[in-house]
Amino acid sequence: MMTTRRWVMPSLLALVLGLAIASIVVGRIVLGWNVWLDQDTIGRTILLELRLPRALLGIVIGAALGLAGAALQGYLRNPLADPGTLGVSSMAAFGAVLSIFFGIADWHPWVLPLSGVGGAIVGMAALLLLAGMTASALTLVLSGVILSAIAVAGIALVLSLSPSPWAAGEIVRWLLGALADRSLDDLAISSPLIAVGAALILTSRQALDALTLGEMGARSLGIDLRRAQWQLAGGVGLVVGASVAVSGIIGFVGLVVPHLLRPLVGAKPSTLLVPSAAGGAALVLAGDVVVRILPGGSEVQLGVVMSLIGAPFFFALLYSMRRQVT
Amino acid sequence: MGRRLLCLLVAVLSVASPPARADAPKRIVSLNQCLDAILVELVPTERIAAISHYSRDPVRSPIAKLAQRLPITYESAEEIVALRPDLVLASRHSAIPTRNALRRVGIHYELFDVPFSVKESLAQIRRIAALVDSAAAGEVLVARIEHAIEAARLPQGAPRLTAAVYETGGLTAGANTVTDDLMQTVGLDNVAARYGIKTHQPMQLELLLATPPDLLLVGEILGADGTQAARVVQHRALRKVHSKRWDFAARFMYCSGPTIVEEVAALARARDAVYATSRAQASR
Repeated sequence: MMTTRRWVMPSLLALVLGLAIASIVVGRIVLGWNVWLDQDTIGRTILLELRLPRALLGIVIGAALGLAGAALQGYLRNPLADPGTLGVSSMAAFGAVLSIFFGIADWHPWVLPLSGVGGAIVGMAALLLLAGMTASALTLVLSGVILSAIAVAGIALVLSLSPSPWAAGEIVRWLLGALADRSLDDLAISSPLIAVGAALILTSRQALDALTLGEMGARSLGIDLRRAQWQLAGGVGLVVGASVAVSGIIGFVGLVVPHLLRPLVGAKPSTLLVPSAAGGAALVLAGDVVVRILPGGSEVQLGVVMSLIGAPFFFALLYSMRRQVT
Repeated sequence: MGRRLLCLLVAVLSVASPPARADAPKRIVSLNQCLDAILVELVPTERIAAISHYSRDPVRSPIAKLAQRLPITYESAEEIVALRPDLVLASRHSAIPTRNALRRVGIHYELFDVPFSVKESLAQIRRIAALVDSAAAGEVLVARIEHAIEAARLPQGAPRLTAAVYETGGLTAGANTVTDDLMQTVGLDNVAARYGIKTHQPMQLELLLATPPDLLLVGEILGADGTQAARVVQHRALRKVHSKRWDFAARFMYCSGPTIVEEVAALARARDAVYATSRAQASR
């Protein structure tokens, strides 16, 4: 068992590296190896302004989603939790959608992602208000359900109020989730927030492990559950909100990755966090390479491909859990 | 004498269509089907670096045949950058990240709204013509459209009719659409606009049944039989409506510009068909 564990992280990192290189190589325009040698400004522009941000965002957002998924599954002690559970991602999407609806997203490239981050912050404030300062995981999850419902209803309202089918199409396309044509601006907005969020999550590792003994057990170990809860919720909110603000909703990554890695690194929540981040990065990069090499004209949205992979996995997961119970 | 006349003619012609400026865009990329249809009317194909892939759709695109011969993009920034365009025409509703990427890379793009009236559509044609330095060709196209509209105008003394467009999915053209504008000119009062429907929105079947228009412009079903969208047009309740039904191509709904010529003629034909039916009924 230990031997597998030791190999997991290096092989995951190698996988991420390989996929990142693939992500830079693959695209609609074929670039030669000698892009640097020739005075090929177009090739260089495509490489530096389009492919590189895309690969880096794939790593950052994938890692954010994987980490958030693992943290929430650990905290809630429920394998069905995913980064969307707290409703912050829906609120971030709602914020971004509003900026498209009101046409302010055209003003500056930063408006759309910042509106998404704004939505995430409003969501976290609402979460704090709803779940109060109780340390109950149940209240937290229910608050997340409420937030999601509000955000989804808001998005649906915006869609039905949109002045024309084209305006609605623009919103829907953004919502489906993709990394296509994102830029270094997007990376500059999202990565600091994701870094802070990830730090919050990683510093609550101890509490996560203690919580495997149940809330009573954790308390008897001297864990401040309230503090741990808000540290985690804040971390997940930042990480997920910043990701959604840039890429739209990319589902199932946070749900699937911890499950894939649990057999390899063990079920201890703290040891699962970092491998899940690496696994998430690998999965999102792989998905983003797949959408670009799929035959056919327009790129399929990354969020769609992820759900196509994720949903059958979810089904299999439920199926095997049912067998365990009976 | 004859030679002098010829010289004069040549002079007039060269004034009417001056050669393109040296700095006129020569590698134009259009990212929108409706803008494609206008662009191909205004500039020779050599100056078009790429059009939208939607223009190759044999059913919905009016320039599908020509589009087969022209390069296309799928609206990804990579493709656009690689084409080294000197002008990009995009819809206001194109993907925001792609636009941001173009801006970062320093590619000049122009955004176009969906025109909500004939006036706006003609203004759009003139704006594109000015951008691509083909003002004369733009005026020719505008004149052609205006001529087609005049030809379809309701003859004096002829009664106005009520009408509604009903496309697959229950979509209708309400107020603030080019279609509504054209219906007015042709002598059709748009029921949907009267019910307060603006732009292209679904119309409740109830409204249609409550005040059946004289003319129902029904969207053609394009290989979508059995889908929910098609079912709405084939709803049982619609059979009870005694409105004159007339096919109305879906492509008329979404693009204006050159398609106005065809659309306004189709509306006039539909109007005349209602007159013919009522005349036949009266004489019986």
